[in-house]
Amino acid sequence: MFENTKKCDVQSRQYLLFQENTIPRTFIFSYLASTNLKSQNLKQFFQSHGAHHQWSCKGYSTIPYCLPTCWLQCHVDISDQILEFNMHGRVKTKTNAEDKEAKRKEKEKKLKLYQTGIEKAFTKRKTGEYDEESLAISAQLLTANPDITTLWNIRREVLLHFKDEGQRTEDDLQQQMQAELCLIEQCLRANPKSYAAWHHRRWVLDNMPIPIWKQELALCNKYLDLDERNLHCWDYRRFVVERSQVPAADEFEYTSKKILANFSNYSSWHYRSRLLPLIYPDPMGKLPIQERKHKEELEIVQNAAFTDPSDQSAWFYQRWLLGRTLQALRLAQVHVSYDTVCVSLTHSVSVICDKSKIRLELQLNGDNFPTTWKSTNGQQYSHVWISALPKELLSGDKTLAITVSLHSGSSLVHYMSLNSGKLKASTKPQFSAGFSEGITSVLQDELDSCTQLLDLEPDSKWTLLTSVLLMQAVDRHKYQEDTLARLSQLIQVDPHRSGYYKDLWSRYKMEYAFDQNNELDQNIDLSCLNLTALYHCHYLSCVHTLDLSNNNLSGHSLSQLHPLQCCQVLKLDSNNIANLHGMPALMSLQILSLRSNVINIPDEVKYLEPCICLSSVDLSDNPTEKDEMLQELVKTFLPSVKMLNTCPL
Amino acid sequence: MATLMKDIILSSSHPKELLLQKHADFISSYGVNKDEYEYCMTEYLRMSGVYWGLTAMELIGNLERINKQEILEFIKLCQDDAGGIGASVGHDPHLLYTLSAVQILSMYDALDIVNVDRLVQYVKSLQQPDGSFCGDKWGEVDTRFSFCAVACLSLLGKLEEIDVEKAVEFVVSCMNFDGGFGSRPGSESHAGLIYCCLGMLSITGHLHYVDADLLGWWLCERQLPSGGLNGRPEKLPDVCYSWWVLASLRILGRLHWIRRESLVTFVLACQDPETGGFSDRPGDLPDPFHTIFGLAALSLLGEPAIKPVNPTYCMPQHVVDRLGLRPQKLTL
Repeated sequence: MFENTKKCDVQSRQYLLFQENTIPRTFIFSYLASTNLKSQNLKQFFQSHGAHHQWSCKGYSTIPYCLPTCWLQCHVDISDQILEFNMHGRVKTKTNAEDKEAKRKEKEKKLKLYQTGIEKAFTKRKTGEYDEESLAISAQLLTANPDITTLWNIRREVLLHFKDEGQRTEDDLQQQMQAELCLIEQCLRANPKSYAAWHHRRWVLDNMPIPIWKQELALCNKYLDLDERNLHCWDYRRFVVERSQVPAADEFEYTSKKILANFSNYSSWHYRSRLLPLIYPDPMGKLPIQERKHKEELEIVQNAAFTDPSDQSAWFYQRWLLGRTLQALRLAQVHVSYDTVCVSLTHSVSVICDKSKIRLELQLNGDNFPTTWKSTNGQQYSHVWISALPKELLSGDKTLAITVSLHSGSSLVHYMSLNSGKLKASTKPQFSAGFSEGITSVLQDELDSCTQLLDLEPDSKWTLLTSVLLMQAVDRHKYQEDTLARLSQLIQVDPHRSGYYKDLWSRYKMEYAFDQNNELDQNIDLSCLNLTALYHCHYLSCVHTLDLSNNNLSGHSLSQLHPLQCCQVLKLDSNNIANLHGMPALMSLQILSLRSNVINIPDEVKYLEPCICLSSVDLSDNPTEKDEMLQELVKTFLPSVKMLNTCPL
Repeated sequence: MATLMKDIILSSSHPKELLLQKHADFISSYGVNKDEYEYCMTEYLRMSGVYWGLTAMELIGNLERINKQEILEFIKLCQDDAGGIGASVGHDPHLLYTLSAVQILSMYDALDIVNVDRLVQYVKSLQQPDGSFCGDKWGEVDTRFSFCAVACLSLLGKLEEIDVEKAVEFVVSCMNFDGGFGSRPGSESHAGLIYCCLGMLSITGHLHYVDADLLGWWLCERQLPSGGLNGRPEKLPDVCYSWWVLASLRILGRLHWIRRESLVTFVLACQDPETGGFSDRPGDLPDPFHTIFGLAALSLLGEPAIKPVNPTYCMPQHVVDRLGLRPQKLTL
């Protein structure tokens, strides 16, 4: 594996060589310095490598700009040995004493070069010597290690000095910047992932008299042919595209070309996902892209995925195309008790932060009622918000008309009214994908193909998972059983991610359970569902009794229960709960049952303190049940509790 | 065209036990000889190197072996007039090293040895109108620097000095189709940058912007058959991703989405049984960078011999607690 990487690296160097025939002087100087060649030997050196151009050996300034590639070839071989340093992929090798000594000497030499160089560079900067020599010294050091940011800074200072000094012509400056670009290319050969080198290239392009964008785009093409996953080069490409206003459609064409050359090209799929919404936006604003293109993309990616089902790239992209349509922000549920109003929203928002522009307003009998909102999770952003009401408001015979309205900026987004004594209102949660018939029929075809593929390769993980997502997108009710069956199978065939599949199972199970309950209030039974996680709890803000017994929930999940502000009875028997520190403040909770869990420290009951109405806590069949301290701790922290370890129901 | 699964094969010869004492020796010997080649060649990132080494030593309870006074003096010398801190004496200030220095000083509870007001002004001066941060005055924008800025200011209790909402807006604009984040809007998702962006959103309390299930799935798919984690699809595993990926999953409350035992095996196999220290992959040369991330990963995985680490700051949990910081974490 490592050998392959190395080989590819070597090939890339050679490939680069044949693209180049112009070399500026600083570039050459850096080469020479790194190979310790004295200037008087230059002529001989050049000639011995086939350079027959006119030149003078008085100084490097007259070295011809054009050199044959064979000269470069030989130089790259030498430059391989200069002081490259990188912390990744350095294979440890056993060496004998002789080799060790040779290596030590070699390093000593390199070190000396580095130390003298950097000291000189820093001193010259201190004394304000912004000159060619400064450029030459830093070039030498940077070709060996392009990550020394300060040296790039020094170069920028020198180059800006040349510009400001006003003694150089536009042509000179252009030439100088071109030289800079060549140096950067050289540095990128030492480390194609050097942040500092790539950034310097941006800086040069933004500061040279005439940026040659075509040349830069060609460079990106070249580098991406060598390594199609080089993040830095892709980023640089986007910079070039933006600055030179390359049409998005051209870039889209480029990704198509790259993908056709190799489906397993995550970087290209990624770029596509960014370009598509620019070129083909959905006029309705609900889908990531317009329907016709969406269908086309689905077909392309299916083709890619089926060509090589073990390649991840296409499957990830497909999952994006299968994503649920964007849901609008709405009120989900409103509930009023005698002294609190509790509002649940479809999204997590902040209604207290001025900058988010989202506001909740309360009207009583048509009049605005100023109130302060508090999130139920204690965070700045939450799905559920509560506010205190004056107790006398709902007492007596008066019937109140209550309206909760949601505003974004100056516009009303949604409102819910509670009239003639009604105390709650809710909208049904929407879990289906919401695709059009056209898209759904494409997805149905894909699902059929997946099923066929599974006949041949029943354990293909990617096909199994994608078929689950397709079933959810096509018709989640029709495929309920199949969805769950394939998830169970995934837990078996891909044990590394069994935790993920179990939680996905929990999510679907809860969604199905929510669908079955027309009104999400009063009693909700979520017991015996094999739940390992809790999802969409903001749809439980009106529930009075919730049964989560006989699942596989751990203590981590408790904090998800913060929306249960109306819940009076909560059953969590027979789970894997070991601690209670995630327990939110549930203001209406009276009866809490935690039978048959694994709580072994009595101190955990302290975390129930914020549930101020608790009258019964059942911890029977937990390791801590018989602990002497338990009674005492309950008395201290939960003074309202009358019943411990007995079931009042 | 079949894709070759990029992974490594663990052999039975690789270490299986945690070699704590060796790691302590490895870190404390690093830099004793200031003229050593490897040491000198990393001068340009020295401040981060010190942070890696110190955090590693503190996590394994060996911090007293480090010369505290020498380090504090060094940091003092690295702060420039504008307030920023450079990697080493003579090197220019940069957000990367400013954060490393603040992390070290927080660990030593010695923030007062630098000019905090100027430091805060330096960080503040690097915020751009779109909310993003430059690494230094030369204009490189990256979400890494958004993390550096808010981590740094939160450790100093000065988060309100910058436009947090704008900063968040920029980070969110870097979110991708796969739920992950890149270095700039439009950049491909990468585990290291995902960590930075989640850390940033965790510190500022804005994790609700994240599609935690989608991103969590992408992250758990980083685990390869060898147990190791890579940083992007179709890449080789590397110990440093044990940290970037794992810390991200921990922030999202989805650490259980990878297989713990196989990752532990992989990380342990990356130890150097002769010199101590961790390398990127089994059999490669160890370095302090991979050593801290190997140890921090094992800590998140529940290794009792290593002190608990905070997933957002990559600092000992007790330091984060002492500073009264409670970066947001999600649950399921």
